[in-house]
Amino acid sequence: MKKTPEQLLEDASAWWTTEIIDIHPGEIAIRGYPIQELIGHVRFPEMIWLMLRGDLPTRGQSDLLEAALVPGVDHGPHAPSIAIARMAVTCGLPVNGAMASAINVLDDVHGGAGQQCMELYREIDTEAGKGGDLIAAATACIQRQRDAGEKIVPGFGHRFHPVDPRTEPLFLLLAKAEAGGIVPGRYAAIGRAVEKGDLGNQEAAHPDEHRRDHRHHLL
Amino acid sequence: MNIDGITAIIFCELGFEPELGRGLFILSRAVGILAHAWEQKQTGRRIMGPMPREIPYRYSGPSRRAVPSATRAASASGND
Repeated sequence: MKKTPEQLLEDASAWWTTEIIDIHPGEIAIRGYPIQELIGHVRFPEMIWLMLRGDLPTRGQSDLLEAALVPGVDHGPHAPSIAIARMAVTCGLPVNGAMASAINVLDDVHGGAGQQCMELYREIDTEAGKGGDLIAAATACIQRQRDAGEKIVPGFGHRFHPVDPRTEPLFLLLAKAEAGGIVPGRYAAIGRAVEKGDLGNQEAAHPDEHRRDHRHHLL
Repeated sequence: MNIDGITAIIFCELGFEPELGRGLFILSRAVGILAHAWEQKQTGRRIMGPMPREIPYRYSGPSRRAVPSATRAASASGND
């Protein structure tokens, strides 16, 4: 059946459907908030949260997100993402090209460990269920990954830092947020369970640094 | 536990999906990428590879050898 011009226009309008932004000549609203009220009133981490999650975070949530975004900014010119940006500039690329080239390599190997670690924590959460033993669940989940041929535990161990200096300050902020009721603390407990249940084994089971970090990036 | 392990905890605690965790890391690293790109631009140096040219890389292929005569004949007859 042939569509009426009105139906065609309706279909065309719905082609891109978004809940994020409403924009008209002289008017911009993000998630319903007029942009002129956001400017000067929300900080950039709150803006990130608003864009990704649909509404503004609480102050505590925003502080924790902001803190987690600070330490990842740089890991020196030996980190491929940084080296590539610098090499691209010497080849004449402007900043957009240099940044795109660098971000392009933040794939599973060099930029995916955080996501993989989040997936592992979630798997442990499900494995343990309500009231289950987290260390046993962590050990079981990691063993499954090993059985599948995975050599490393994403988020644990580092080929450059004996102790990662970025971890402890974030743990302290996390503990504070947990004590303040800002976060439930379930995943903090899961992270500690992974360390207790497995990290020593990981070192012992994979003494070959070259093999152990085949997927481990230089964050 | 490294930086990925602790930020993964924080992003999970805050209710982010794992794929957004990767995106958030990229947002963070983008700041360093921009800073280093800008700093490098100020030097004005051109076409820098990953190492100074004086530093050799390691070649692990076959040692020098003659191209097989059959290949030479084919090339001489114009078949390239």
